[in-house]
Amino acid sequence: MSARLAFYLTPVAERRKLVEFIKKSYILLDVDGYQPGGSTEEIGWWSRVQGRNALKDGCGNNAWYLASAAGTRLADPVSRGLPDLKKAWLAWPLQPEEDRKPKLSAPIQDSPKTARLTPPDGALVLRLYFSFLDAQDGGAMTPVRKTRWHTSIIESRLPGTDTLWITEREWRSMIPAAPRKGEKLPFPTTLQNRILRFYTAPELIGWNNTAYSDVRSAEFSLTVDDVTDAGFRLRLEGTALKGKEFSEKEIAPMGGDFRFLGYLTYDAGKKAFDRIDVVALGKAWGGGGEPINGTGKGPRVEYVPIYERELRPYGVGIAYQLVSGTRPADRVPPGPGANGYPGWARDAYFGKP
Amino acid sequence: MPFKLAAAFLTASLLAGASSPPDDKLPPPIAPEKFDRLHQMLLPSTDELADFWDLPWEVSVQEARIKAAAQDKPILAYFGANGSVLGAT
Repeated sequence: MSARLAFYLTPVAERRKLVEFIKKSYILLDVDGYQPGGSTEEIGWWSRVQGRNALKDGCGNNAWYLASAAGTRLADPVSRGLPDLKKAWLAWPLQPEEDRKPKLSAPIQDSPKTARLTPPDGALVLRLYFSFLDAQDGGAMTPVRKTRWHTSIIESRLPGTDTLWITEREWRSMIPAAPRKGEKLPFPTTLQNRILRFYTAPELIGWNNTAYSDVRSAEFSLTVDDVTDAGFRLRLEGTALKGKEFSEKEIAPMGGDFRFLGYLTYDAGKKAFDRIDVVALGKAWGGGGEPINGTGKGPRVEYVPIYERELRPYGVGIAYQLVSGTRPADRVPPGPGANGYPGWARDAYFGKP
Repeated sequence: MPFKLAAAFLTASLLAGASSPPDDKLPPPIAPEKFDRLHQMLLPSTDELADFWDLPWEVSVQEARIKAAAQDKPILAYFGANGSVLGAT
């Protein structure tokens, strides 16, 4: 979020110029603090850039770095905002050529523990966007325009995000042999469990909590909604009651109740789903967020979701959307593989078919 | 259920075009005719950095280094503490 906020807090007109400048002048790199690369050569690069034993201490510290290909740090790291890109660019020609243009080759992948995770062969990639919802003056539920910026709350809206992987086995199981409108199909149990366990909560703010992941009841169904010569469309409907029931007298128990509706369009010519759009609407509660008073103690009611001292359920909206998976940014691992779980919880994530 | 939330979900119910019993734990069904609008509402707009993921990100350290050396450019890198900044952070 901090990296996005660094761009977001730049006024729109300046942001466009900034983006063009970065495209023209820099190589933009995302270093995953948990799986930064599978070779000792890559580990050596970010150890030099960070000036510490990154393999031992971990390389992620939510900060921007300017560095050369050889691994020389060009400016102090910046955790709030962006570094002075123009200053560093002007000084760039002064760097020694062997530092700017070292001879590099494909690294030997000799450190599998830190290797980046990529989607399984044949998997579909969905990106999801999570918003807290609230009603303004009794009107319609709309996304809350408040975002935590370190220990402050700023007037903005940046949805939480994540990637979701659907295995080839799962999406192929949703292709009927001879689709007929109104036909019912089973929704893959493993995918249902994955969505309910990992993708109905704002994981990025500390909700990766096993209590919340409990499912009191859930039901998903698929119906053939339309059939044409070009393919067919499925309608996904679902309900889920998660975690503990809401209690005004308790803060800790977390829970959430959701409705799902989605459409999956299959292109018979391409033999592939080319649209998967799903919406989850619901409400959630509990003290799973991070206290923003900095103490970590006491009633956890002043936490991130609604940013107010009122214990109540709050609205939640999640959009799921199929993406091509060709952008590097869409091939990053899902949060459950890196955030809040000890390493890659592969079995927990994919489940047993 | 506190009044404020009850009112909010009553409104959401109207938005969704369906009603549910007051003691129903579930939010109201999502009306198909409202689906596209709801989905769009939950996606980030351009002003909300919908194009953040369209930036020319490299996610491989070594590929970034090779490109930087070939193009004689410095590297602007974000080191995410909780995984990838392009994912759930």
